[in-house]
Amino acid sequence: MSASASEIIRVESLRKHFGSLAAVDGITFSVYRGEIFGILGPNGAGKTTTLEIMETLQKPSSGTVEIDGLDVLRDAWAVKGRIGVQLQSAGFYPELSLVQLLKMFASIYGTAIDPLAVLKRFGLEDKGSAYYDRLSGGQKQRFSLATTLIHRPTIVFLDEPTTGLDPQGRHNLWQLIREVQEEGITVVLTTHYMEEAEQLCDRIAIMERGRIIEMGSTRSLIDDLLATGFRKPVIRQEATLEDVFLSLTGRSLRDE
Amino acid sequence: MSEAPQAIGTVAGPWSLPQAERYGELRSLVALTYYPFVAMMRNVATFAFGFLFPVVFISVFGLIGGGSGGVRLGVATGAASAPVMTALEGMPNIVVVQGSQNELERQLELGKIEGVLDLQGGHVVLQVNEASPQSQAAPLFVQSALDRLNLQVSGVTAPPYTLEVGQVAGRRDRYIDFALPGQVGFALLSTAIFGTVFGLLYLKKALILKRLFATPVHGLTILLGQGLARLIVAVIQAVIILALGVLAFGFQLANGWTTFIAMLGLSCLGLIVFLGFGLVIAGRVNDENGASPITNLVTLPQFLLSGVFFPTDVFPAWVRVIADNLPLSYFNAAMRQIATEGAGVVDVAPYVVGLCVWGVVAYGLAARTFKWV
Repeated sequence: MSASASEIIRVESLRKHFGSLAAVDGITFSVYRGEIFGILGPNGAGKTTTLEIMETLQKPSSGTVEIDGLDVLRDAWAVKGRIGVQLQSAGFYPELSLVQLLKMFASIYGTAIDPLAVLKRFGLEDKGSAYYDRLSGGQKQRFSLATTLIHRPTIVFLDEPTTGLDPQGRHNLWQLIREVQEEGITVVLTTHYMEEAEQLCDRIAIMERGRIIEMGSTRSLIDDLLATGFRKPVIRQEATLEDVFLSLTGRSLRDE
Repeated sequence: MSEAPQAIGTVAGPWSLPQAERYGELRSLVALTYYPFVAMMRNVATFAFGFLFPVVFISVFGLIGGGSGGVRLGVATGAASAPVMTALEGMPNIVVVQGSQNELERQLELGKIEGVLDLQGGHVVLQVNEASPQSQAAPLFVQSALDRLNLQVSGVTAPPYTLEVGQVAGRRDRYIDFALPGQVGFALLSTAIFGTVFGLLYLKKALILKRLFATPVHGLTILLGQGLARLIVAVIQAVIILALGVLAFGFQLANGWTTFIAMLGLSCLGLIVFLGFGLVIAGRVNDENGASPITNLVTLPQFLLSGVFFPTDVFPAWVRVIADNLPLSYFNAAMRQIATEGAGVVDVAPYVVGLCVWGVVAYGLAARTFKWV
C-alpha cells in the first residue's frame, strides 16, 4: 500500500458541482493495481459522478484524477484507451446484433477479436445474432462487461453491474468479475449491495452526500467496527434465505 | 479474449502503450459509418420516411400523370366506322369511346369523356362539357378531321396552305416530371431532419453516445460517421426514387446518365446542408416532446412552399419571396432544371450558392448550440 507504484488510480480533492449542488465534495482516494475496489453509498451519494469523472465522461470542477499515471483532463485520450466502461444501463445500438456490436467496438479500438469466442466466454455463444434489447438483464450485463474488455484495458469501471439481476445472475456475474481480476485487470465498481461488496471487493469506499465517510479493506472495516465493541445481535443461522432459494432453484443461469 | 494478458500489474504490455496513435481515426470513422448505416437501414422510421413515403407519393403522382392522356370522344356504337371517325382515330391524343347515346351523354356530364359526336350524314353535331377545360380542345380535333375529309372530297391532294409543327425540346409535360425531383428533395429533407434529430436524441437517451465517448474516438468522428451513414441512405433513396420514376412511370432524364449523376451529386450537397439543420435542432432540444414541434416547424412549410407537390408560382408575390428562398426551394429548383432541362452545374449555380449559404448558416448555428449530452 505504501509503494506508490502500485497505485493505478489516484483521486485528489475531487469536486464536482452542478449549480449549487456539490455532487462530489472533495474526495481523495487511491485504487491499487489488480484489486477490486468498491464504491458504496445510497442513491445520490455521488458514486456515478465520481465514476464518470474517472471515465473521462465528465469534467471535474476541481481536483485531480490520475489513471495509470495519466491525468484525465490532459490525457483524456490515452486514458480512454486504457479503460473499459460499463454504464449503468444500455449504451448499444438496438438495431445491431451482438456480433456486429463487438466488431464495431473492436474497430474503434483498432483491435481484432473473434466475436464468437468473446460471446462464448460470457455464456452468450448462441446470442451472436440477437439484438441487445432482446437480452435478459443478466445477459445484458454480461455482454456489457464483454465490451469493456475488447481492447485489453488495464482498468474496468462497472456501474452497479448486478442491479436488477436474480441471485443466479448475480453469482454468475461475480464469478466473471473475479475472472477479470485474475487476468490482472483492476476493477472499480459501484454497488448498493453490502453482500456484493463483502464477497467481491478487496477494498471499499463508502460515500454519503458527495463525501467519502469510510474507506479501507472490507475485512478491516468489519474488524474496526467490532473493535468498537459493536456486536450484532447473534442469531445462530446456518443458512440464509438465499441459500434456501439457490438450493431449490439451482445455481445455473435462467436467462438463456 | 482467449490469451489472458499476464502480469499486467508489473510489466507494461502492448495494451498499456500510449494508444492514441494505434487507433486510426479513419478506421473508427469507417466503423462508425458502417455500423450506424446498418442500424439505420433496420430502423422503421428511416424506412418509412426515407423509402416508403416517397415511393408511395411517386406511385400516386405517376398515376396522375398517366391518366390525362388525351381527348376522349364518344360515338354511338355502329357509327364508329364512319369516315370522320376513321380520320379522328388516326390522330394522336384522340381516344374513341363507344356506347349508347344516353350512356355517352351521362359520361360527358360526369366529365369522363370530353365530347359526344352525333353523326347525321355529313353533318356532325359535337356536344362538349363546358365545365371541362379539356373539352375545349375537342372541337378543334373534330374540325380538323372534317377539313381533311372535305379536302379529300374536293380532290385537293396538295393544299396550298400547310402547317408544319416544329418540335421544341420534345418533352411531354407531365406531373411526374414535376413531382419526381420534388420527391427527391422531400425524401432528403425528411431523412436529414427527422433522422438526425430523433436519431441523435435516441443515441443520447439510450446512452449510446456516452458509451462511445468512453472509447478513444472524437465526438466529431461519431458525428461525421452518422452524417456519412445518412448520406449513403440518402443516395440509395435518390436512386430508388429515380429508378422507380424512370422504369415504372417513364420519367425522362434530360441527358440520361449525365443527368442521373448530376442529380445524385446535387442530392449529396442537399443532404449535407439539410443535416446541418438537423444538428441545430438536435442541439437545441432535449427530448422527443420538444423535438416534434420544431422539426415539423422546419420541415412542413418547406414541404408546402418549396415546390414539392406544386410549383411555387401559384403563390402571391410576397409569399414567393419567402418560398423561393427556402433551402428546399433552392434544392428543388436546381434539381428540376437538371432533371428536366438537362441543365449543367453552371446553369444551376445560383441555386447551389443559395443552398450553400443556408448550409453555412446551419453549421454556424449548430457549432454554437450543439450539446453532446
